[in-house]
Amino acid sequence: MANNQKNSNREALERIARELMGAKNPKELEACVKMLIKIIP
Amino acid sequence: MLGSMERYEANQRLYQERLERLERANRNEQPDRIPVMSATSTWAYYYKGYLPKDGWYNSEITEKVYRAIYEDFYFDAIDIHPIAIYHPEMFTILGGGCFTFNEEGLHQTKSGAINVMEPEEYKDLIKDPYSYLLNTVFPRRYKLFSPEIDVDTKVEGLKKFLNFFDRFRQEMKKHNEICARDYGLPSAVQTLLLTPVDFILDTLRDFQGIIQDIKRRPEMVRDAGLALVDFILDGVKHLTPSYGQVILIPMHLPPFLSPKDFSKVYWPSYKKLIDELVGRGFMVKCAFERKYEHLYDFLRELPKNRIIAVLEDDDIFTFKKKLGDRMAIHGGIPTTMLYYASKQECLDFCQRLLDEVAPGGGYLFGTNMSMITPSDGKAENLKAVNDFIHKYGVYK
Repeated sequence: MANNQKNSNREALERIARELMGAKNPKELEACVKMLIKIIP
Repeated sequence: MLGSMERYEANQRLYQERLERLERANRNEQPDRIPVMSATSTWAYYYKGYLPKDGWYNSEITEKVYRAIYEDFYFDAIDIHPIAIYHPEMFTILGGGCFTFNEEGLHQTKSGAINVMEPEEYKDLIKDPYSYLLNTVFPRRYKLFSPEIDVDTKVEGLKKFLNFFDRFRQEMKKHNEICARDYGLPSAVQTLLLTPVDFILDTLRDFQGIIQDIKRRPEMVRDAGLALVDFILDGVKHLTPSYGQVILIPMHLPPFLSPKDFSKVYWPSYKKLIDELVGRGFMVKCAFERKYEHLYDFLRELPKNRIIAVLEDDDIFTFKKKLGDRMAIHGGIPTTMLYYASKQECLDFCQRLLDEVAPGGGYLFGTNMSMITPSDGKAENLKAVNDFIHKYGVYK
């Protein structure tokens, strides 16, 4: 359960990173995911 | 009457003059005159006959409100603007959060909502703050991140949330463009950061939790603070220092800590953060919320002439004597005085600021805290003190 939760939260952010933020490679993906985590209040 | 091109050019010149004024005052030097700073946050809505919530869905009202403030009162720069970053619908989309909103639209901390971290979890926070937030804190705080929500729903929710965030960014961009173009008013703040230990206080443990931790596991609080420095600095990774502007750090926990506890748990990561920001060329404005008198010896150790101290409840005249050789000072007029005192009493106090705080420079005039509600100041008093400082706060 905990693992699924981890994966699904990360997967959701990665999809946003790719679809909305244009992340193309692992480095960009990581940077976008971190940025998203920081802006969630 | 100036034509539109002449007015545009005049505002451009004014903008540059004001940036230079800010830069020199921030560096604890003597500018041409004392900068008059705006911190008319949500107070601006009441001034114009609205409520803060009226601006949530209406960009025209928001614009009308800040235009009134910048036209009716003298200011040199904007520290705190009236545009709301938080909106109740953001939290409805996320399904939770730390804030609640009153009927006028002011956000307040929701009781019991902050403390979502167990004391035993400091090691997880230290190991990887991003993973800890995403996989442990968010699911406890927001329904959208809980295990029973599928990925597609999460993605859709996040897109809606980001729409609100984007709207805020657009609103800010419009505000800053209007201020520069139509009023020659620069924004004094590049961005806002929390100190690492205040991040733990404000978003993970709340007051009771962190005070217990400081007594029972101070090393963990200290180490988590140090581990969070890079996390906090990620917020300025893409920024370069901008002339006349600062990084604003509102500080929350230190007034409640003894010098011994401050030294043990707060100072290591705070000093590291400040040194890193200053090392990158940023000027740092620390809003010393409430009282810091018991910590002045520490503040003396901050990088000389790279810090601007916003004073809330400290005695500004004593602060000038004790720390005026180390850092610039921002503040002066208490919001309570602006509301309860007569115009003459306010002006007499301003004269004392000119006599005792202004000499030598390194002084930015403003309220001691953001103006949020109508009781944070009478409009006629604000107008009188700003005009007075603008007229008499001249160095040459």
